[in-house]
Amino acid sequence: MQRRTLLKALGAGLALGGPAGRLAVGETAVLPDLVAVRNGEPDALFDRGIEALGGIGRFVKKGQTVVVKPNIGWNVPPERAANTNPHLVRRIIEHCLQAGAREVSVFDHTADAWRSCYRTSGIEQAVRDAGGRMAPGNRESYFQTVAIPAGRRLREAKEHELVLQSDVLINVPVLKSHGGTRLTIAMKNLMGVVWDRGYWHLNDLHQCIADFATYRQPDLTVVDAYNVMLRHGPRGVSAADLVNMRAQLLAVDQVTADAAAARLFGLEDPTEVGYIRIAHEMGVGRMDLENLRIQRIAL
Amino acid sequence: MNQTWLKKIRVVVALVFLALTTLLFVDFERLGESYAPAVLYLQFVPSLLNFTQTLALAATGFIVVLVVTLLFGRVYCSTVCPLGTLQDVVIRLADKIRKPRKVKFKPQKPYSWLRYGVLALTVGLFLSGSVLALSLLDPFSNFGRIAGDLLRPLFVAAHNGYGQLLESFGIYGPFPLHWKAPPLATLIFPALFLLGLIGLSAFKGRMFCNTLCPVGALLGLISRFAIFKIQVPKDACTLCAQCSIHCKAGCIRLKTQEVDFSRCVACFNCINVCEAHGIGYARSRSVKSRPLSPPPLLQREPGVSRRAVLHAGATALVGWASLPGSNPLAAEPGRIAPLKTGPVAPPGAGDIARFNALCTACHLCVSACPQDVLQPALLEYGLSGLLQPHLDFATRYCSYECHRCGQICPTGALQPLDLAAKQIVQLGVARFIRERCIVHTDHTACGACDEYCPTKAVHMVPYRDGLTLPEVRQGLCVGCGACEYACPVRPDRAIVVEGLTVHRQARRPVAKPLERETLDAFPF
Repeated sequence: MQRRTLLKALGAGLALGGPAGRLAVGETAVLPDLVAVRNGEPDALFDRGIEALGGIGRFVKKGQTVVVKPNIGWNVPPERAANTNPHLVRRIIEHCLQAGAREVSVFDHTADAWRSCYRTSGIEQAVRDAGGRMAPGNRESYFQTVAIPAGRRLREAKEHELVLQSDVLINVPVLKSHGGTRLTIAMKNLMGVVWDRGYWHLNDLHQCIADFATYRQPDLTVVDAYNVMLRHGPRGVSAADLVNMRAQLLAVDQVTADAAAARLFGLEDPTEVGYIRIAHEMGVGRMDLENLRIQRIAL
Repeated sequence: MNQTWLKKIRVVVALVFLALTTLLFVDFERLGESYAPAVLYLQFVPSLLNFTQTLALAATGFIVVLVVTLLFGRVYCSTVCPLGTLQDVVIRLADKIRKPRKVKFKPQKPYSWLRYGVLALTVGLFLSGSVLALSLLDPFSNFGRIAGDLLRPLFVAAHNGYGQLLESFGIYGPFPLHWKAPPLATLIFPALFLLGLIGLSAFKGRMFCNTLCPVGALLGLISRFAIFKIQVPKDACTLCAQCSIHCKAGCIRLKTQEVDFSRCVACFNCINVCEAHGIGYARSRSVKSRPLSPPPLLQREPGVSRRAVLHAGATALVGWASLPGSNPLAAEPGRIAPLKTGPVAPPGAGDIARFNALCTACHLCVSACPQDVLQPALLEYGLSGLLQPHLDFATRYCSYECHRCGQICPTGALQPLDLAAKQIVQLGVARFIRERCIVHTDHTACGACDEYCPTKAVHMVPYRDGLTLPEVRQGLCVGCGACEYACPVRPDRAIVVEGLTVHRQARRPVAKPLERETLDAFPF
């Protein structure tokens, strides 16, 4: 995993364009494993964070197709932060299109009625404004069965065709408490690209989340921690459940992103979240933040 | 007097009403919602029922209809009534298919005992607490079930098929519409009704409107006293018979050159085909100079009354069986509703007995429900509540952020609640069955019920080995069914909502402030 990350970083460094292109080739080897940005609005946090991570050009090449996967699970407005912040979604799409992406699609297999979620979350409008494509995720016919060879309990899943077809997957979860799994962050957000979630709940939810993480590591994970739901998650009852952290985490390794987000949430030890511990043990990614390069930025 | 323009206007108005009412039921979300009040305002039975509940200005449409009827007769039946226009469409299509025929319609018997019998029975049963007869005969509700239950799935399939075609070219065009199949048996009634209506109208014109339709009978009674009536001027009449053979209601008697205006549906066919251009509206007192024919009530022929009595008897049987006395769910006054597994009625129903006595099962709420959780009932409410909507949590759950059904219910069976009020209405109470829960049986994490609960009436409490188990705080529960829907355990779910016979108020969730506020440094 580490080697792959390093190679990817090197490769990206060579291919860089834009502002990050100013870096000398040698410097790219020290790109951080995790960028943590705070004290700013979601779009400004992303601008600064993605620059520190090597620029969007490291992840999106000209002519590629991109899926941006926010959390749009609930029919609640942006100020309730049960869904990913729409300003962040918008900014990410703009970056992708500037990098030359051919198409940027956004969808979620929502929990509440999907049309309501898309609208109320403000994400449908944000995607339109940014020039992305809002795609439906509410019908089984969009999902195709894929094998998960490394899975222990989850050996196959029905995955959305857009994720299967696209060159780049950017996972944009929102950090929230969760009654069943303690926290929902990046790996759990990918439950929104599969169809049959009931199976996961029936067959050791933590293990299934980790199993699915072995299938495809997103190319980039951006954790929205602008407003963080500290209790009553994942849906929340009111805006009183939130703390305005004004932060964001960016990483290539989603286990790293989840571990850092768990600490940000207030957990002493990320292993308190079952799927983070399991994913680390299965070698999906790394949660040992103390051994990773972290770039901390305050705006 | 040339009144041929009347029919042109009539046809345009009728088609507009038909189109708008149809769209209301097949595509409420995108189109119908914006204009629903305008189209519903004049629908007679919904407006009348609503007025008895609210006395609201918005429910005065039936008065407008009554006034117009007193002026010009049953104009309603050929313009506003979607079921009337639907019959006209069937008649036209049938004419295209079959061989051209000279005599389109024959004069019909007045069947006065039948139509006034049906009217009396419908009203009588309604006043004694059973809405079933009205529900099964009301033209608006029947049209609603035809459009909403039968046409909507076809519309959704066509729409989504088109969408899929576009998607095969990589275009995510119109997002798919949703439709959840109701229990098949609930489609039997609208299907049979539609078949009967097609047969009857293709061969007998507007016979339904003059035999079984209680609105037709009532408006017919009033149009006897209309100030302007369609009349045959005897001096100009050439006895060409065109008016009679084009009359959809079969209400023109050539022998006496008389129009039975109580059965005239004001389609204006006669005005346009009259060779002498004589037939048309005239002040009804001008009739006085002519010898009055005996009122239709006395014209009945021997066979009619027997048939009418049989019909009335059958209707009565259906009706009596469904009186509230035999309804197992009827609330006894003064009794506090116990927790029991019963049907869950939509928000705004309040007391289920009241709701059952008012809802004519037009299924507009079923069509409009963004969650598809509203489904027609079979016998969940008892016979009297046949086809009335109930919440089916196996399908979906009631959205905490939605109060649409009460807002659009045309009869007032569901009272409109603003969102804040609807969010504390308790439709039922969740009951957790620990022995079935995956956390208890398999020792693995789940929490799907807690995840979906909008008020945190269902929340997770420490169990063992770091696992958490659901717990229900009944006072906070609104009975939305999200927990029951989300529970993955099959066949019997580990959390179920038990419906209340009388809706109650839940506690509004209180938010304690959080201790943490901002982030000054990263904890890693």
